[in-house]
Amino acid sequence: MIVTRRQFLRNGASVVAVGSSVPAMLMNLAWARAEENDRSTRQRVLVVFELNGGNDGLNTLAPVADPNYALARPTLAIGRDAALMLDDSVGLHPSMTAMRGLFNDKRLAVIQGVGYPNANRSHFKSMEIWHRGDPGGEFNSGWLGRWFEKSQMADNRCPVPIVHHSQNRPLLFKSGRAPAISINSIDDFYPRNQKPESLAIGSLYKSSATIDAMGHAPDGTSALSPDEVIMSTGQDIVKGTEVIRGVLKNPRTPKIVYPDSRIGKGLAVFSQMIVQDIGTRLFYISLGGFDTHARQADGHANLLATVSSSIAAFLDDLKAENRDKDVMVMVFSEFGRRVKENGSAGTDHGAASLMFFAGGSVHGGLYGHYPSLEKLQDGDLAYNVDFRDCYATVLENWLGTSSDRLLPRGRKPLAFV
Amino acid sequence: MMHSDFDPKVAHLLRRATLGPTFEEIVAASEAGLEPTLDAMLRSLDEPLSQRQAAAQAIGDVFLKDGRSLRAGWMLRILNVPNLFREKLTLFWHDHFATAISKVNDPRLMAGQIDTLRELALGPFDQLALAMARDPAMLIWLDNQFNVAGKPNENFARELMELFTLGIGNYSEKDVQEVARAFTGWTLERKRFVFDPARHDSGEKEILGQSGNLDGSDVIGLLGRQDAAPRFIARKLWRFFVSQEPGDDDLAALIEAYRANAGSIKAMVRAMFLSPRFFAPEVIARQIKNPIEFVVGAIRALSGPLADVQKYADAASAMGMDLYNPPDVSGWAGGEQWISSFTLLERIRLVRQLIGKGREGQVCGLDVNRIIADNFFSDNEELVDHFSLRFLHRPADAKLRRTLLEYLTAGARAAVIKLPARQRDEKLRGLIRLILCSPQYQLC
Repeated sequence: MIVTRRQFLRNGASVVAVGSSVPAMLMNLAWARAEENDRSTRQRVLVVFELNGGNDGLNTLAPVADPNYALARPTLAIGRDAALMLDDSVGLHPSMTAMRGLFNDKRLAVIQGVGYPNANRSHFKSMEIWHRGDPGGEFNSGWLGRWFEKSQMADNRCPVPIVHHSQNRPLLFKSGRAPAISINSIDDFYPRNQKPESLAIGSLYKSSATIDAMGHAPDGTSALSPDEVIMSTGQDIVKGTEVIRGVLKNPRTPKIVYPDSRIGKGLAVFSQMIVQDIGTRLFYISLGGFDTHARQADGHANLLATVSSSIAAFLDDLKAENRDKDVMVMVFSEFGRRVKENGSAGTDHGAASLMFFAGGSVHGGLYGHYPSLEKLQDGDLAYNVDFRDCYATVLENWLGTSSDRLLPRGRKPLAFV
Repeated sequence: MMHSDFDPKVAHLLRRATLGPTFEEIVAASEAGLEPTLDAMLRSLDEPLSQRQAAAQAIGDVFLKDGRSLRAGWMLRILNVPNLFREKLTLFWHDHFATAISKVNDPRLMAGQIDTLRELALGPFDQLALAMARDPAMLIWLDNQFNVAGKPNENFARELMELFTLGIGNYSEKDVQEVARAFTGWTLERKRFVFDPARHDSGEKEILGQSGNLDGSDVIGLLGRQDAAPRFIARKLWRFFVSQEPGDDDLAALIEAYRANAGSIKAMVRAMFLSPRFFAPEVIARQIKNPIEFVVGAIRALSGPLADVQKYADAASAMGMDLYNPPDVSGWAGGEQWISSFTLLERIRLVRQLIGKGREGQVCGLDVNRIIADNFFSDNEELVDHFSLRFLHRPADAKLRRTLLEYLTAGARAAVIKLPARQRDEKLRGLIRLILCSPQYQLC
């Protein structure tokens, strides 16, 4: 039996409580305002997919018609015959057939030449810039954490509004109190034992005045002390466990076979939560290995195949459930790579690269223009689309919130959604 | 109640400078006194690896199958060797020169790198940095094995300055390219470091305002002499051993020690632990335990069976600290990043597994019969206070103390020590479980 929020409203608490021991207090917490929220039950969902290490955009979307490309990449260039052409001049890496399918369906937007001024070539600095949505020093928090604080904190009653498939909480969700739950496996949320001390552990983490009354800095940075971080995380667990346990009692069988990989399994869990309508708005998953300084060809092909096939399976699964119009996947990496390959059949850190946006509501196609391979900046591609404008598009056109005060000023949203 | 022979400052020093000190160790060190304890600790690093440590090294050699067995080997060492100050420093350097088996893919080379860090843990910084520049695992990890004249690979050069010596903002992109040239030809032959003159770029280079035919050793010396170097290292040390947000004042003594002692890490570490700030109330018990501190502390406090070292190392990995396999070259983010809903659940889960073990009169390997016999508890309050001090090294806060007392009282007709053995042990198991799962126990 699968229980959605809608069914919950129709049938009442008994449905959710079947076979589980969700205390009334927590049911309250989860659903008290569900009725108010129900007018927009099918809220839009954003899935952020990060490629860690600096994805080689040049070989992901290859400018095969430009002779400079093969010259700069004597061993690594994708041949024109092999590339999955999207127009007359650029083509996807041959391992990305599934994503080409999405492109043909007009469910994939490819944003070319994405970057920001004075590109930073440090992994950590550049990741920080992308996660904060700010190459300057204006914001210390994560851009989606800020969104959550501004538009959701007051009335989002879902106890698991933000879910990440990673051990650490990604910086992009960071803010004073955005409750992010890490879910590497739904099994983690099933009850262990119910000995008295198990229940007492929960009570050690029940909310206390200190936490409830706690404020945060105006820019949304964390003002939590170490013990408050521990307390609030414990509270997230108590609430999240109860709700997920209650709602996901019976796992569904996906409509599509997902790739048998960590990413495939993670996205299958996400789709289960989306289909069962818990109310989670933000999901995050990441894949590492893109720092391809040496012998990159095979490894990079495998990584791109994973990205491509798992995202396509995810969206096809949601489409079969008639939910793909509510979900958008955003793919990014901290930077692209040097145009000229290095002496070890790899590529060093570069600058501008590309982003993908995929989903049933996305206006598929190519956006921005492919950066020139002749007018390089320090050997790297120059950007023509600011990544913050892509973020502004997500905030304004997808999540329905003005980007004012969430991103540095002067944003110009694009039209991919 | 506070034991007269339990010095909270000594407990703090041992928690931060070693790994999971036991109640008994703290009592013994309290008798010796704070300064003698610190001096003995620093002196211990001058001694060559003790026989017992060498023996542990041999045990460790059995654990060279893969990354998973490697981390079990280090866990076994930690649970066996007497000098946990050296292990803690080794862990710090592993975090600093973060190299992961995920790419190196050779357990022997990884073990070799950690052994080098262990030997040089308090050595002069430039010696340590040079050893890492020539370390085979590092040469693979940051691709310097492929760094050849004419086609430099910048990976090592960049991270050397950004993450190992100076910190971002203290060098230019041009410096990265020039340093990469200086390290060309530093490569591997049959998994050993070699310098290959044929692949080395011996041309003129200009790095941080110095020019000449500089090679890798010159660069290491040059970087160690930059003002930014002691500042950067001091900050890293402070964040690992003291607190997340060091002020400039805090670091001044460490930087001075580095300068006055030719780049000595030992002098910096001494200055750090002697700093009045180290014993300030806002520092004591205000750092989130890293997973190794948490796991080792729990195992040692409960005398967990050594046969389970693989489980312990796997648990620490699930909590976010996979030894020999840090997430990336910047090491573990640390601080509040140790705590997510996932990792906190893993902590709670390990405690449940440990507490489930034990014969009558024991919780895991901890002899609770003996503790009760030695302490003459007259009521639950005394018992709670003793166990709080034993595990937390300080009194339980009001909320925890209340929860513990309520738990002991619930469904029991008498004070816990008066209950029949089985019921009593059951209550003590729950009590210890609650303390180890409490928010307070997560702090170091």
